[in-house]
Amino acid sequence: MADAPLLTVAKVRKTFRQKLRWSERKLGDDYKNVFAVDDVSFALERGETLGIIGESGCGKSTTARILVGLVRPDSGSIIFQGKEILGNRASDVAAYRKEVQIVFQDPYEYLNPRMRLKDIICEPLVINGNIQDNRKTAIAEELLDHVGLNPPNEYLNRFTHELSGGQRQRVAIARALALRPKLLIADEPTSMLDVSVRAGILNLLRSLILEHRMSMIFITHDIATAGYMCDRIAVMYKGRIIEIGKRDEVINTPQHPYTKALVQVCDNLQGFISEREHYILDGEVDSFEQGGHCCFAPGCVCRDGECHCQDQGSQELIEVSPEHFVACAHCH
Amino acid sequence: MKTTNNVFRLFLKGKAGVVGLVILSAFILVAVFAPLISPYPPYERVGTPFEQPSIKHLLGTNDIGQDILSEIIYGTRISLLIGILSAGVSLVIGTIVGMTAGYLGGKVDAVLMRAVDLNLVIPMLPLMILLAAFLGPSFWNIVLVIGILSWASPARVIRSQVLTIKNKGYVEAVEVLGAKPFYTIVKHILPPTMSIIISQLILMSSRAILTEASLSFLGLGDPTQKSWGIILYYAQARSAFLTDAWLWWILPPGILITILVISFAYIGNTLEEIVNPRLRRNVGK
Repeated sequence: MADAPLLTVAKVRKTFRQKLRWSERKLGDDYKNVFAVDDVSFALERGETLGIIGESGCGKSTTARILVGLVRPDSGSIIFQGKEILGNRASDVAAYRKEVQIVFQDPYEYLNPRMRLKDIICEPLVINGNIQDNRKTAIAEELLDHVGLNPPNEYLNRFTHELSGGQRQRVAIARALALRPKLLIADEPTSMLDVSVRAGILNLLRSLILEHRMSMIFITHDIATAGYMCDRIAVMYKGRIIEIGKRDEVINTPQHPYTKALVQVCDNLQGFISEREHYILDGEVDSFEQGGHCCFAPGCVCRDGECHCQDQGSQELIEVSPEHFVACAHCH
Repeated sequence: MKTTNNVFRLFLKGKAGVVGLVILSAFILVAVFAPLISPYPPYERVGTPFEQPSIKHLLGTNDIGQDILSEIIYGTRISLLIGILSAGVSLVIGTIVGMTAGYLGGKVDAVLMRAVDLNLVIPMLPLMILLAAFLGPSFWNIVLVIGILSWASPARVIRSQVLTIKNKGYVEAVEVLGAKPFYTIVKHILPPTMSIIISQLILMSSRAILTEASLSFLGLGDPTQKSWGIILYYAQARSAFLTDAWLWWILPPGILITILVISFAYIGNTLEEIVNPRLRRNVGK
């Protein structure tokens, strides 16, 4: 049991149906499928931080929302501490919800503007029914202090509009910690914040993870941030994980052409811009109908006939070195 | 709180709302201090029947010698009370229906909204007359009949507000915590809906007052409680329309009903314009 991963996600799939415009409809077919999350599998060890990176629309936020139960996947399994979550046992799901907390991207949207910080922070405890009213202040103070809002008693009775973006995100983190979760999901926690306060939030998250021995899934579109925060990195593209491995391997020896492009952007932006066509072909992500072929093929600089083949298995993850998997037909 | 202040400030800018508020306050004062203002006790014979207006009886007396002015002053109480209580009943039902439909969505929403549509297309007054006649005349029956049959339009307005709030991030964030729907609704959806509920309450009050007067005028009201509608009913029953008596027996309650309803409508409309973003034109911008 001790060696089993904290969380195992296997073949999770979520397809959204999008209604077509009249002009685009074919007979008897009013919808097209959007593959938000397509066959995603990964495992997360205790105390580990896994980064999920990818561009907007690649399904990383949907993955996060599936993990916290806001979106129900079409198929797949999520096993947390040895228990299947997607089954129908309500008690298991309730227990799971206490163990997994999320910090959302937009701290302006996800905190109720009508509540005082004390109530916002204690709300997880109130909902899960284990707090007495007179202990609220003490607990909230402790958590506020914990996330670096000092002195805590000055913040207790404030409303969120009296805080800056960074402070709000700290409140959101405090709230997520209230239930002492085993797994924290951070869905682009710094992308809405000023650059100047990002580092503070990142460092806070890192020290909290170490201190509470939590695992974290850190979702971002910035490979540099992922490199700073994570032990392992998974790269998503069009709803699929196309490369996953230890941080250093993914960043220093990227295998997939898309990962190479991402790393290059970070490494040498000037070089990337001037020689863009060497890394990625133009075109926006479009997660519509997918076949068995490689999802990156339309934008890949080293594609060939094989990449477009159906049933080539080129979307399968292949182990190129220990614990480093890549989904590319050219990386065998 | 900041938002409450805002609503109040915007309200004072709309002239109609202020006028309505002043008139309504006057009516409320009259209702509260009725025993001090009215010259005679309304349920006692204080003159001969069918007296014309005089210094002693400013609006004359009715068929059994009760002072009409006193009746009208006391009638303010009953009319206001029935209006607000039945609006309260309709808002309780409307809020529950609107919240449930908006929050749960899907099939529940579809079924409830069809019920609302049905309620809106049926001509209400005939149905109310039927129900009131069936239940028998009493104060609470009138309140119930009006309340039970007029929840549809507030339900619809409240549902649309719930739909907006339901998609806010903080509601989602509470769902992640495993909150029960009841908790989410009471803690996170009800508070920002409150202003709309209150504006609907006021609008429904004005309708309810009018409905009460109609029902009472038709003889379906509680004959032991003197509301303006009941006064009109007796005036009509004693042929006041055929003599000069309509001038002091029918006109005053009729005008008062009109003014009261208008004042409620002014307040309600102004409030609704402020709190319902769809109706907001350029108040305060």
